[in-house]
Amino acid sequence: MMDIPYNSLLVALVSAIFGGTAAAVGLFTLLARRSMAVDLITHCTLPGMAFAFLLLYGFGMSERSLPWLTVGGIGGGMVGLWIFSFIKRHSRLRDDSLLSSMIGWSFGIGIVLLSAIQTLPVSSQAGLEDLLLGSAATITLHDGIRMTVLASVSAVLLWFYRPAFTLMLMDPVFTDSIGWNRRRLEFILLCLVLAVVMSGLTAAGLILVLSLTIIPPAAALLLHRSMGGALVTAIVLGALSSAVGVGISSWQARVPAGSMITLTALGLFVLAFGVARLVSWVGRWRASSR
Amino acid sequence: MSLALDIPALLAALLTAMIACLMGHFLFLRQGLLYANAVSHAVLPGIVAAALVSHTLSPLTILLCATLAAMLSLLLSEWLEKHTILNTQGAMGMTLTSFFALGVFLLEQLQLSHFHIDVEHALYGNLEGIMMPSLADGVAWSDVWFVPYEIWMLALVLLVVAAIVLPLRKELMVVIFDPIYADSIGMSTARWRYVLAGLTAIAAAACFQATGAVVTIALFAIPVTTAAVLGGDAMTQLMMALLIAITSVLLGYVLALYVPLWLLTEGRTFNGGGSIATAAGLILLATVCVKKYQDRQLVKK
Repeated sequence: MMDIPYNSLLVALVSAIFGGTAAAVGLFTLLARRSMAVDLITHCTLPGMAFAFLLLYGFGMSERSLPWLTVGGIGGGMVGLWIFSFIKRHSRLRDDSLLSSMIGWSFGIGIVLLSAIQTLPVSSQAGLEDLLLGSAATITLHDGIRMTVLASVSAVLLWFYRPAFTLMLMDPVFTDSIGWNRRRLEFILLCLVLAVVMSGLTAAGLILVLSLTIIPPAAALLLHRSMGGALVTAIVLGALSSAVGVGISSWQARVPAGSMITLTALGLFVLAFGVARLVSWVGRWRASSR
Repeated sequence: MSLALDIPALLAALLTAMIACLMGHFLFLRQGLLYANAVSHAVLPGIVAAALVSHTLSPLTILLCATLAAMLSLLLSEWLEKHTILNTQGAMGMTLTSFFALGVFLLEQLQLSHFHIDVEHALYGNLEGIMMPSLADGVAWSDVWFVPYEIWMLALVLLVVAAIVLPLRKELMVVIFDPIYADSIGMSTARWRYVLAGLTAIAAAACFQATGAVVTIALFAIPVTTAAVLGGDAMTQLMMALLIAITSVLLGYVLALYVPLWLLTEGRTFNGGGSIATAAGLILLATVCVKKYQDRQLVKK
């Protein structure tokens, strides 16, 4: 602990909070077969933030105002979800084709807006590019507060809705029969995803935030058969990979945080896969030798 | 920017549109359009590896390595689906992010800046970078090779894809729509699936390398989806998708060049690839709205 600066420790802690929440929410989206909807949400936040940036510029305010950019990102995600459900309601398209169309479209709009921003005579535009891949260096105190607040709010809400989500995943027919609206529950789940994504954007970057919602929960599901156990393991693995990834990125300047987080999570997944295989072999061996 | 300068970029975008539509059509029927999304991210480490191996970035090496990476990603996501608890979307998301993260990591580590590939270029596409060398550089118009290599590559890939997919359309349809029947008459479903996957990989690799990830994903998915909203049999849908893709390329071109003229300052353009994707998406939204309006009119009658 001698030359780890206080600042990196704080950044790692904040990233761990974000990573744990992302993994917890991700466990539910993964089991609900909604992982690519998460991808859509992350892609939709880019045009939202770029639009907010342009609006702030238009009104002559400070373009790097993080709260407003966050509001813009959340707005972008909501609009994306709304357009998705609008088209879905009024056509007979399947989810997969509509999702991939919307992902390409929203990212295209985001890039058009980014290229418009690049023509503006302001110096603060460089920050938006960092959002694509994430970098630990851009995490400031304000960022840390924003990450913690958004992640904690979604964690509390997730805790509150956990029984409902679990029931929705495990027994949809029963959920319907007691009169719970499954579409509304799914919408709430995706809103939680949106909050988590906005929380971790500066750390993980908007393309690779997806990995935290898939890989740690998948690793946890390899090790556990129960929802509670999987949830706890997913949170631990997500927090670990996020903290380690951001930590390495803040220590080695040329490593983008997003890709380091993903690669750490992947390493943990491989480890979990090995452990799961080992456990099953040992179990089989003991059963046969008995 | 003048029209003459933009012709190569426009040509590259049109060729991409045609390749993407052909493959996107079959992926749509297979309910696998998300694979195109995953594969277009997964080619990045392949391109970086090619830069490492060849040191000169010959287009063929890049195409080969990118295709290999794309095939690997498809195999990995299939394996994950079979051997872990992950469902299709989860397996795809995991492969996509892992490959992309690896690509970004390698790219930043190796500092390949003299190769003119960086992450932003790979994502946004480098449509504006596809240019004719000017006559002042001593290129004669009679020399065929003054055409940028991206266009040759795309034309070649289009030729290969079309030459395989169009004559074998009937077989592919049988395998996609009635795999049990296909098995019963002795067609190997698995082999045909791999043919489709391999062609998807080549197509995505070529499109990604020439025009970037956004155009590739958007043009694979949006035109065929719009055509599906309009309806009709498969061949009609394919033709309509081609028409829609070409329209969105042209519309995107107009959007990129002329909208900034009256919105922003003189001499600025929007990102070409992003504009094409935006135009395609707007066409999809408009189609859905018109279709809804028509349906409502029908109900009123």
